[in-house]
Amino acid sequence: MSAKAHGKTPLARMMDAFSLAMVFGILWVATRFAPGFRGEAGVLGAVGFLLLAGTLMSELVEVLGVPHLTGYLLAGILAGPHVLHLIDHESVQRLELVNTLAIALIALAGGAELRLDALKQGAKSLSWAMLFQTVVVLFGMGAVFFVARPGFVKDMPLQAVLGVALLWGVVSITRSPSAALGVISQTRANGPLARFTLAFIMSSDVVVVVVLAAAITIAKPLVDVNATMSLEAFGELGHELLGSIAMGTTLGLVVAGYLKLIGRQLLVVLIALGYGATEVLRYVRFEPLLTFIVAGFVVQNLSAQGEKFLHAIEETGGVVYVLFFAGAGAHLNVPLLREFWPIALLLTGTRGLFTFAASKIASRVAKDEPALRTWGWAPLVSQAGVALGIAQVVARSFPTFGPAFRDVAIACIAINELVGPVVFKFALDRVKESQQPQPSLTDVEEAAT
Amino acid sequence: MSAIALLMGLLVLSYLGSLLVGGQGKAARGLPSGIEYLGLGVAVGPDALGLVDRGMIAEFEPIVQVALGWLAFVVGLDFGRVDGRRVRAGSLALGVAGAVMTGVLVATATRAVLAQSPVSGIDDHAAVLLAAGAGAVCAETTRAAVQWVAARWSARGPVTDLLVELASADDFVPLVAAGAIFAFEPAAGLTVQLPVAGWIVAALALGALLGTVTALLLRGAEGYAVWGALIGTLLLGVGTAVRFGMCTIFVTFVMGIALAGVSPNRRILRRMVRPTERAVLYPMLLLAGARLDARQIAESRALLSVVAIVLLARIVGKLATGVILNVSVRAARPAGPALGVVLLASGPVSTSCAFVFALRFPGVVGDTLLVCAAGSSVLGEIVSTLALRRLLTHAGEVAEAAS
Repeated sequence: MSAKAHGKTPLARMMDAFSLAMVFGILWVATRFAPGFRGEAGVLGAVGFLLLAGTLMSELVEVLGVPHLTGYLLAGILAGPHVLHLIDHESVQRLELVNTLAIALIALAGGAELRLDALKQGAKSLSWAMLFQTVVVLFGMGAVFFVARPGFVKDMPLQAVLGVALLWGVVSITRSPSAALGVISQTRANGPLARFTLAFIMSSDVVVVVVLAAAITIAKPLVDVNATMSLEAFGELGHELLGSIAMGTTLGLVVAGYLKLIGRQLLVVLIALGYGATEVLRYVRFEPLLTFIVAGFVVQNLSAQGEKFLHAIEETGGVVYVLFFAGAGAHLNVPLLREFWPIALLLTGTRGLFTFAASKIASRVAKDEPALRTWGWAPLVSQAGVALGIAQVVARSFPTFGPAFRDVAIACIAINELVGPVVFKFALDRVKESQQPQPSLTDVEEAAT
Repeated sequence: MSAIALLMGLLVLSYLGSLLVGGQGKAARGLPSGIEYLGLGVAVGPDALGLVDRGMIAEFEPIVQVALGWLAFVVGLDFGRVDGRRVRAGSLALGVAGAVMTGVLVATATRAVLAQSPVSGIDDHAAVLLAAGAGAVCAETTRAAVQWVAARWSARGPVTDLLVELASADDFVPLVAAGAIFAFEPAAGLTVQLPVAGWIVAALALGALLGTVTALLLRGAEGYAVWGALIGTLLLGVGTAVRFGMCTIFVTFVMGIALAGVSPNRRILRRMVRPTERAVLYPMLLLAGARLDARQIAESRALLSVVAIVLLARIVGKLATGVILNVSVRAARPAGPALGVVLLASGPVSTSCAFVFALRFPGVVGDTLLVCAAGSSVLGEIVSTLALRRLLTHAGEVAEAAS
């Protein structure tokens, strides 16, 4: 994300490695000689470390052709509380503050990347892909879960396992907008696959929210014989969706007006939006992700400020994404992965197969162009925050089996989080949608002199 | 007020600060010391309107540490340069010597007063700390005042140049003095013991190492990755310094100097970070104002007299520096005897220095130093700015039409 990708000399790589060793060394010395330190300022060191180590690690793993995002994750995993213990649990928890801003920026950028004309052109592909990816993966993965029956559902009655399997299907149809945007932002990809990915992943979030509400409504009486089916959740969902769209439209128009009339200090405005607007949205119980997607979409399609807005988000988001993914790496529960790896491997493997199959069928029906027909499945493998959020909702809604369900989900998400971006970048490289990086600071300085 | 509301307020201030960048007229907006934002902080703080309570200020401590670190980093990156040119070696030496003299005088006077009439709550150890801290806080003259006058009344000439150079060079003293004082008080619970010199060397090494790592990171970096590298090293430096009880502004100041020394991108970096100074400064001043707790000082006549002595010693120190400059530097002669009054201008570096003391040594020592910094800023604002204009007019460096 931050360097001339293919032009680095071995000496430059060695310097990166040296810098990475220094950064690890500083934090190691700090944690070794000031072990009992707790406090807000400890988080500062962790944030600084993740930012630097993530960037440097991404430069080093670039040699292997993997995306920068994987480097950020690796840096976080290595330094996190489960491997080297350089960053403790408390600091990792406090890093969630960064996530609020990151999610807002990701959603704004995602919305702003959705151009109405491109959506109209790709509407057929998108509709078929949405239908098949939702139905095939939801029911296919539900069936696999039902047959595999992980330990925590073994003693459950059959209909209860059916309910849990349905919930697992919902977790399986979630994708990662952040991972998709992270890879597209690094590769500056532009083409049918990148456009399809953005449109699909951003709209699939809305589908997932609706399907989750339906699945919970159906699963409740299946899991608990005393529970009754209630459509109340749909009323709430409707209010949330409509309210979020209305709020997003308003926000988008305000941002477009600001960009047109003032257009300066966008960093401060984006931070204020990320924290301030999210707080307000949570207070009125609207969905921040959907609101920001709509806001970005409005800026792009109902004003002439889309490019300026996207550029500003890219400038701010670059730093925030490193932190977001490195933090996610530190958060990644390695012991859980170690414990559940056989079932996690089975579930992620079959999810990949169903995603691949659904993509092939949808592409054939929609008569997609070759890039989509071959690689349309690749961006849909990644999972991250949205899937984790759904696992948390299930854990809260079903206290009897929810926590175990969440643990298996976390193990699967960990695998998809690591594998997905690699597969997607590979696909973008293969269809030649990746582009050359921008000039570096040194280039600018040389040009100035 | 919730923490998010406070954050929004700080962002608004930051927004205003960032709008005031660039352009001659814009440089002269507001007061040079930024005392109005300190006053706003006092107004919204727990002792006045109570919109911001002490718990919330404590919650924002990490942000303050980062803001202070960033300001010191910017000073370090630009150290030894004014308006894109190098500060002359003579001015550098004189600026530093003048600040050291004032600082030592303030520290000695404060220590003497505290030894003569002990204050309850300040033992011998705290007295030394308070005296040394007062010396560090009151040593410098803010360059913002000279630049403010120069921008407002289009002042240009050898006296203006000399004053800007002196005021720029003497930033070195409070930042280094704070670093040295903190070395006497490493954090509790460390598994390593070092002598005072060892802690100073460790802080120096940390700053230098981070500056070098930043320079390495910036080779081949583009757009936001440059900001990522700067912010990352700054946060790591501040976090590590706080962990060991080192002085954050010293570490980041050294980091700035090291980066400017080794990076081939130093010019472009300076251009990039300079506009951020006010955007960071205003929120920091507001929080400093809100943090200012003068209750103990108002209730204790002894502490009040300590603050008075600190300010008095600063006046004496700066007047003496003015006399020495008048005698020893030809360019200063047209300024006449009022030169010392002009040097009383105080601002962001002093307030930052007092703020790091207040964070590291909360209680009577920190509060007194913050009050001293605020008092020094007010005094400088009242006395020094107008005197500076008169002096430059007298020296023929302010155009008649402008004056």
